[in-house]
Amino acid sequence: MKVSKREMILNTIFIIGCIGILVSAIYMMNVSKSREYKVVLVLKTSETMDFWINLISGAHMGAELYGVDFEIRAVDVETDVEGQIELIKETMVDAPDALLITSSTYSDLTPILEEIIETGVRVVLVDSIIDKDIVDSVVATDNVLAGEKIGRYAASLIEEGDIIGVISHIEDSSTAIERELGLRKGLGVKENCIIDVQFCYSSYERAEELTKEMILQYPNISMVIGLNDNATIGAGRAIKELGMGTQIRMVGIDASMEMIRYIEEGICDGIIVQKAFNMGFLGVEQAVKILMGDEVEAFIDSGCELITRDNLYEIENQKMLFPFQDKNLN
Amino acid sequence: MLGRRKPILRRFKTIKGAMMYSFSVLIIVALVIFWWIAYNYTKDTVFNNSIAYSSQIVKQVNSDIDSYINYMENISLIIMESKDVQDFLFENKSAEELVDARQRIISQIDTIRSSRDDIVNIAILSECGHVIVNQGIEGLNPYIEKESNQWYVDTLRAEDGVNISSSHVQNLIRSSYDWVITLSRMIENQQTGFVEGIFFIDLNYESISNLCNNSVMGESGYIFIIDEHGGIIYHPQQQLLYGELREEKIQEVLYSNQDYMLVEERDKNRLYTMYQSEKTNWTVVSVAYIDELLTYKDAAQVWYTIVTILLIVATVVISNMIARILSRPIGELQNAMDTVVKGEFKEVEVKIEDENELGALSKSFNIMTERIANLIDQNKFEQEEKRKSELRALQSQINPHFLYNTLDSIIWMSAARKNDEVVEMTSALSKLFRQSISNDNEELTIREEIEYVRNYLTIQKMRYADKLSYEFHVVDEIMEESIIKFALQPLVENTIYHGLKYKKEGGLLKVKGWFEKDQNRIVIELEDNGVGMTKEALQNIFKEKKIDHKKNGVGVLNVQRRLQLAYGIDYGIHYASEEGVGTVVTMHIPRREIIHES
Repeated sequence: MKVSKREMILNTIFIIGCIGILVSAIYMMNVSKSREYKVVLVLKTSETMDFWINLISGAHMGAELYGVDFEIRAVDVETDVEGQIELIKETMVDAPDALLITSSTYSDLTPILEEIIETGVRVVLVDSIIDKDIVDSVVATDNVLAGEKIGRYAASLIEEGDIIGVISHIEDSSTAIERELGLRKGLGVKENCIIDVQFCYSSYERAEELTKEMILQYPNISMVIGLNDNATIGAGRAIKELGMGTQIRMVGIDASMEMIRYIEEGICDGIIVQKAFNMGFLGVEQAVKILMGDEVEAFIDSGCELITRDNLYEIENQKMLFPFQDKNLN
Repeated sequence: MLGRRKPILRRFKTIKGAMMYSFSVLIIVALVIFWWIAYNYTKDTVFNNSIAYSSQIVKQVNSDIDSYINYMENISLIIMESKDVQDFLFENKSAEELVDARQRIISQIDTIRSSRDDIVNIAILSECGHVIVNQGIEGLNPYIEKESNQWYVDTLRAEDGVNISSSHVQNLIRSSYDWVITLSRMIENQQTGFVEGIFFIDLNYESISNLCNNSVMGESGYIFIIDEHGGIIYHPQQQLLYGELREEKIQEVLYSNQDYMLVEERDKNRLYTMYQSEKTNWTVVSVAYIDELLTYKDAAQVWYTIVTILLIVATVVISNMIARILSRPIGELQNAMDTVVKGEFKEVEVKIEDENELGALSKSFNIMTERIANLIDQNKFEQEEKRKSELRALQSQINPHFLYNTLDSIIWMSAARKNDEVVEMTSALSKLFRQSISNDNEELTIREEIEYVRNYLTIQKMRYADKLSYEFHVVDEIMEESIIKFALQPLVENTIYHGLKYKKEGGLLKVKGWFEKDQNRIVIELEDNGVGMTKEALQNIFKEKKIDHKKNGVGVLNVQRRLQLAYGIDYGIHYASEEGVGTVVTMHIPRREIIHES
């Protein structure tokens, strides 16, 4: 009896000790084992526009902050829809947890995305939307709002009866549709000033040509509005070349170094700058939240800002406009 | 009841148990206390170390920046103090001389710029419109007014004429929008004494950010720098801040009068450590996540816990072993004690292994048991001696009355000239005496004892004539068995004096002897038809005081005692008597060979 009691005490202590060690070992293992998500950003272009540079650096910042295994893949040109579908298929081979997609088309990516979502991969659309509500979340500039902002600013610059020419980018793309919608809303009663809307299909040269044609066609044109980066820059180039900076007012959406110079020079009166950095960052953040099982909003407006000569060098805007990539190392 | 409970340690059945229990409890309590202190101490220490480490880093970064800025200021002085600058900006020189001065300045700027990667721009400008930017090729941005830049205004206002800007986009120089930190100096016209120009060096923003990034603040900690107005010089998440996606505790840092502060926000607690440079007035702030700092703590604490558990297990096991070893002699002592309690004193010696109290106790125990054993032996010896002397006393006690009576009878017979009877009686008497003195042996054969009784009875028969007759019915089988000396004769004597003597005539004494096989014992029976005994007499027959020494020196008690001493209490004599009918004395003795003691 005595012996068995003593052994019982010993055994109990031993077992408690072993359990304690086991528990702490498991605890330590758990501490060191935290899952790293793999997120791939599929870009619709590999152009080095400031917009994309900012978006990418925002995404990188997000990936770094959230400790995500992050990768960027891109097709060469925005118009290569087939290429983007192929790229998405290739990306799927690496079994990512989530995809950030900047769609080049409103409807053509839908089938492949449906396929992907079915396999359990989470998808966040960045910058542009698609025709079906199938993705987990969308992070983009509220294009209607952006259009509205530029519309309201434009309305403040012109008189009723003035003539406005609009250079848009791709005819049935969601961004083009929404921005034009917003623009007309922002112009309010001056909406009927819009005399022409042309599409440059994301080509600087085409935008420049279209602007020149427009100026030729309507000599008393008082304002040109560009609805994306290419369109705005093209318009700016045309006006500068024609030396009509003082006669013709110009506003647009999307910034670039060139555009900033035009603002400094007074060719351009103001631009709406999308917060591309925020877009990239929020895209990654959304993806991480979704993967962690958090509730997320279906649409996040990454925001945009009106930049004019007056607020160009405000410190907050400097960061938005002038990305510091490796530029400074030149 | 409750108040009178026994102390816990007394409630254990064994000392070993008590020791093990108390050791274990003490060890566990002690180690748990130690663990708790270490656990909390670690937390504090890690935290304090983190603060110390952070301030060290912050100071290091700060001094790096200071020395960097110092270096740049020195570079700026080299150019500033050259006479060419004054000549170029303010002197009214010929166009040729101006070009020469300009060329010299440019080559000097060039030398400096080519030797350093971190200098983006070096420029000199005067109020009156003279400008040199870098190699002289780049000009000023025609659309930007100098005065719209804060750093430009600040430089003109600076007391010592030196200003270091926050990080900003340099828009003064045409077609360059670099993120820089501008180190600027005002240039005084030595002739007029007025400030009429500005010299500035644009430092690559990364030269500062690299200084901050080099220092690691845990996994996701970081370092940022703000100027005295709270403007951000460097912040790794600057764009997030401007994009309003993140907030930084800039105001809190700016107005904190301590060199560290804790910011508690939901699940993420951060440690801010700051240090303000006297040179630049910049404040270098390091941010560390408490969770990450405390991962070291966690690791340390996990180890403390594991070590504590292992120590508890090890020490409990070892203390149990010690308890077992220490208490083993007690167990042995207890076993020996149990043996002694059962009456065994021999071969109980306890092995003495310890030199402590238990060893002394065991030693004493051994001495005690040995002494008791000796005493018992001695006691036995003395008893024996006593018996022997009693026997001798018996031998010498038979005689007085008996001898007197016998001799008297012999005298009378001699007087009556009954020679034959005299011979017979004398012969019997002499045999009787010879037998009683023949040897010192305590035991003899039944035959010898019977012979002794027969001689005795011969004498008595002659004395009492018709009053007494006797018969012997002792089987031969038991004749060679042993019996203690003088076992029968006193009983026969008793029978005669108490039973037969009072009978007028026809007294008969039968001496029977046989072997009771089933009991393995010898039975000797003296049966008489004397007057018998009263119940009272029968009851008192073994009582000492009733022994009549005058009539009969040896009592029945004596015989009984000796029988039982020799053979154990299962043996002895038994009386059965009835008044007027007679008495039967039955003696039981074990069957065994005679043991002749030497």
